[in-house]
Amino acid sequence: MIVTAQQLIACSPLLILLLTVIIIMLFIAYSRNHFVTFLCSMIGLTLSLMSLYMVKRTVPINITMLFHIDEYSLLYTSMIVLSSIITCVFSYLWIKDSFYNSDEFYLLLLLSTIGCISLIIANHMSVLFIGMELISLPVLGLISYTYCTKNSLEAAIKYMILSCSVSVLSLFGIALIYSITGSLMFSSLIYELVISLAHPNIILLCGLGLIVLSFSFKLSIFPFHIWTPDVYKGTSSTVLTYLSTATKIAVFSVFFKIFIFLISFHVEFFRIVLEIMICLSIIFGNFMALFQTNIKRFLGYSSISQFGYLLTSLLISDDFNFSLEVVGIYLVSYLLSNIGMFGLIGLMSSLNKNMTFETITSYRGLFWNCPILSSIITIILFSLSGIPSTIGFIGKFYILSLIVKENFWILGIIFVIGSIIGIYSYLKIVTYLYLEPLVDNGQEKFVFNYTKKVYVLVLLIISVLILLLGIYPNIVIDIVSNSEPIFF
Amino acid sequence: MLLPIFIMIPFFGGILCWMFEKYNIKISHYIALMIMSIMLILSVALSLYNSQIVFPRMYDPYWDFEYNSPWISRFGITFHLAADGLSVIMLILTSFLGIISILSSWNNIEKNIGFFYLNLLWILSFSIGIFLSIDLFLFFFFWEIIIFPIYFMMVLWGYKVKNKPMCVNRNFFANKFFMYSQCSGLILLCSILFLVHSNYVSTHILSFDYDVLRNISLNPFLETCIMLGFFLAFCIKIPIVPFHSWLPDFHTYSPITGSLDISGILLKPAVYALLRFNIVLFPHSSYIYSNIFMWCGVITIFYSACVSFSQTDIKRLIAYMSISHMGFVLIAIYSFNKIAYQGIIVHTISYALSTSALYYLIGRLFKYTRTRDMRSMGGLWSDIIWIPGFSLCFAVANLGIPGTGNFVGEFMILLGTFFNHSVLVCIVAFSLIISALCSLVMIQKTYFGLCSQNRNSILIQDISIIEIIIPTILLVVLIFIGLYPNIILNIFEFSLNNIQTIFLNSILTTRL
Repeated sequence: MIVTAQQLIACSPLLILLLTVIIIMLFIAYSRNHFVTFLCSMIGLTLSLMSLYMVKRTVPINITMLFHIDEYSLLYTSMIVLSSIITCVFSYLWIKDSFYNSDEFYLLLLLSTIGCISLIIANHMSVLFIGMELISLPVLGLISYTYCTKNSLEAAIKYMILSCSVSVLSLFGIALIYSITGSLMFSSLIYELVISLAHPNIILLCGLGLIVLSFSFKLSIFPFHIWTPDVYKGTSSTVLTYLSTATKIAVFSVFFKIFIFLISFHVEFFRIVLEIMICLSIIFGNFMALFQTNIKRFLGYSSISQFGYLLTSLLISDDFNFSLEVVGIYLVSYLLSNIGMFGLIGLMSSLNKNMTFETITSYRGLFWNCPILSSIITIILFSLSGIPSTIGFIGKFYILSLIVKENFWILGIIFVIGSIIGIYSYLKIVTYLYLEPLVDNGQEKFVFNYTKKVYVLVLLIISVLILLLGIYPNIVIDIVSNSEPIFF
Repeated sequence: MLLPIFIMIPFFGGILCWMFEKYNIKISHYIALMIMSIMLILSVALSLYNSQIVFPRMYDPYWDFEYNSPWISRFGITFHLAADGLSVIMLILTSFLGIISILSSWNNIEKNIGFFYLNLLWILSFSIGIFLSIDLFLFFFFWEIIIFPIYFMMVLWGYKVKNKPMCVNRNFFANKFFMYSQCSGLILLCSILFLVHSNYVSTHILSFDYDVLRNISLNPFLETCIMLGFFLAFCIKIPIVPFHSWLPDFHTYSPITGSLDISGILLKPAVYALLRFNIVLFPHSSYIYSNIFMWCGVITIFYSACVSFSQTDIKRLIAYMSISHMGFVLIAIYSFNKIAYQGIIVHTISYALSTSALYYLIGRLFKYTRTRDMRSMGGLWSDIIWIPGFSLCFAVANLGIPGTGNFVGEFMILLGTFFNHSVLVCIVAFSLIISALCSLVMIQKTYFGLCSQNRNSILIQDISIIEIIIPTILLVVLIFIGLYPNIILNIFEFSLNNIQTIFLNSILTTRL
């Protein structure tokens, strides 16, 4: 097996991160220093983000038979690395104040990022499986990082048991596919589907179904969503910045690549199941979000409905370029608003040691104490609910136009009802921000020192970006529409 | 570049007000006033320029002013602004009421005055955007975005009820308004997308442009569906009876200037949009459903006039009366008659003026008596100088007495509608009695009758000069329109002709 220099270059984001992991491990073995570890991981992540520019010239390219890199995977890789960078930034202060064993956090984060990237560029079932496991095992460590706090271990155990059982199922699915095709390459799967177009093999479809099931567990689509609110509640908000964005984006990008084939070969069963799942996710997620008092649980439920909206992009008949744009734009908006929201919750918790800012009532009257943070939350929540002049609206606009284009009447009605319920539940939080503050909600003690001002600046940039891209979305549209996958 | 300036000036002016707040509070006042005066002068200049050139072209784009630049080229969305007489008259009214709003908030807003003016000017800027935008996406954009400044205005400066649970809080009603607007917006967005998509399917031109979509021919079922979507969206904002419940609550809990704005400015975009989009884009189905819509209007008129009787809060009473008047407008829109159309504009304008004046006077009254409940008022006539007299004038104008603009508007609407729908007009004419009764009850309970116990019977003399100037200006304008309505009619004559020709043509083809 010969690996050319070009292939090595194409692999460089992955390699840089691997190198960073090794360097950090060596540092830990030598002497523990939180700041150095932080710096190392930041440099590693930034370098791997910059190396994407170099990779852009070599794509599309196959690296051995395991990986396949094209413009599509570059886009999602950059989104994931961005999310990891922001998570690093926000975790610095949190970890410095709270923990003795601080360096392992970055190690786990980087390992999970490597898992995400390898999942995105996977071209082989084994990479798919290893990537999924490489995402979820370090995340398990991250979830249980605050093992002293109340719900943390519960969340970790819940995530572990469910995730492992689903992994086993997906492994079984891969085995079923292997039993038919005799190869683990994606292309052989496609080949098998093409030649048995009229009567697809049942075992093959069962295998695919099991893989899709494991994807929908990771994305918390309706029947497999049970873990989401509890895990969100037990996890610290800094980890959630990563967990809610990077893992889901990575899984979705692969899900999209595989599922778009099932649809384009008109496997009717999958389409019907998917439609039911979308409708129930949208309704259920939005409806349950209405009754939440904990803001993390709320965001967990809202992410169920967000991915419900997003899955609509898979239900297309012919022109998959359009749904590619839908996915890109929607994920960009999802990334920005979720990073912003969880970063903000983390920042506020670090501003006041006695409060965790997890209940919605603790945000009461924030506007009167700290107008800048409350306007950031307002912009982010409006973007999540899809109100014009935010990037969230552009995403919603894309999905609605897809629904109109494909004439999904029922889905359209569900979409409208769901988003009206959704807007109401987001608005409830926004209203809390502008009520008169209660005396004992501990917000008067906000003091911004130098590092915290940097954090506020980062959040401000994110919210301005949300607004700017909402008003002038051409930039994102151009990037997204130019990065289409080249299949196998 | 002329038309974007109209949107930009108040937009950036608002930001200026906000920035200069910290130096001196008075500066924000003067900046806001200056900006709206510039706007008024500009829009009047536009109308003068407009009336000089009249050249009838039927199928060409008939805009007097146009601005077009690409925006989101992926969807064929352009930043397309255009103005004809109809838009210009709305511009004049918006900027005029803007000045009145600024003047009326002169000494009343205590906290965050810069941010208040930011919101106020943004409301004006976005509503001007609604009147000028011709691209449907742009229209929708302004239609939705105008909600935010209103929402913040209501949440931050609204009427506060002390020691009451959450459900009667102003935030609750601000949310209610927001939800209604969002429902309206989502329905509108879906309908616009359906329209654009069906245009794309038939012609393979992906465009949100009104001028392009105007020539579309749809199959009847689809046209009906889309038309109903548009109608529902505008209906919620006008509002028509089953969807009206946000308006009285909104008026009750919004600040005085805020409700002055919404009565004057926010009800008009929906009327404008019905005229501009619903009629022109879907002439056939509008014609088929016109009877049903007109009866909706009749129900609106009678229902809300009756409900306004039972109100004890003056502001709610006026709010219900304004819903009732919107029923007239709906009837006129679907009467397909040119005189009625002219009536709509005159009626909308003069109604906006008289209602704003009434809200303003109630705001003053509230300042002196600290109540809006009519049960605890009474016998105020001799205690407060000026205000009762003005209130009487505007209440009488509101019920449409000859000599005021309201009379001209109502008369033209009824006259125009009578040609085709005589029975309906006969029924509607009875509502004038109810609305007259409402106005009189309001005046009687507030200013005449027995003095109630719990008011301080001090003679209130120290009324500032602004408090007299504002109602005087409004009254003068109202009477001027009443006596010489041609000045308004001339401005939009030509553009109304255009709208009317479009559906007359289509009705002819329908009948064939």
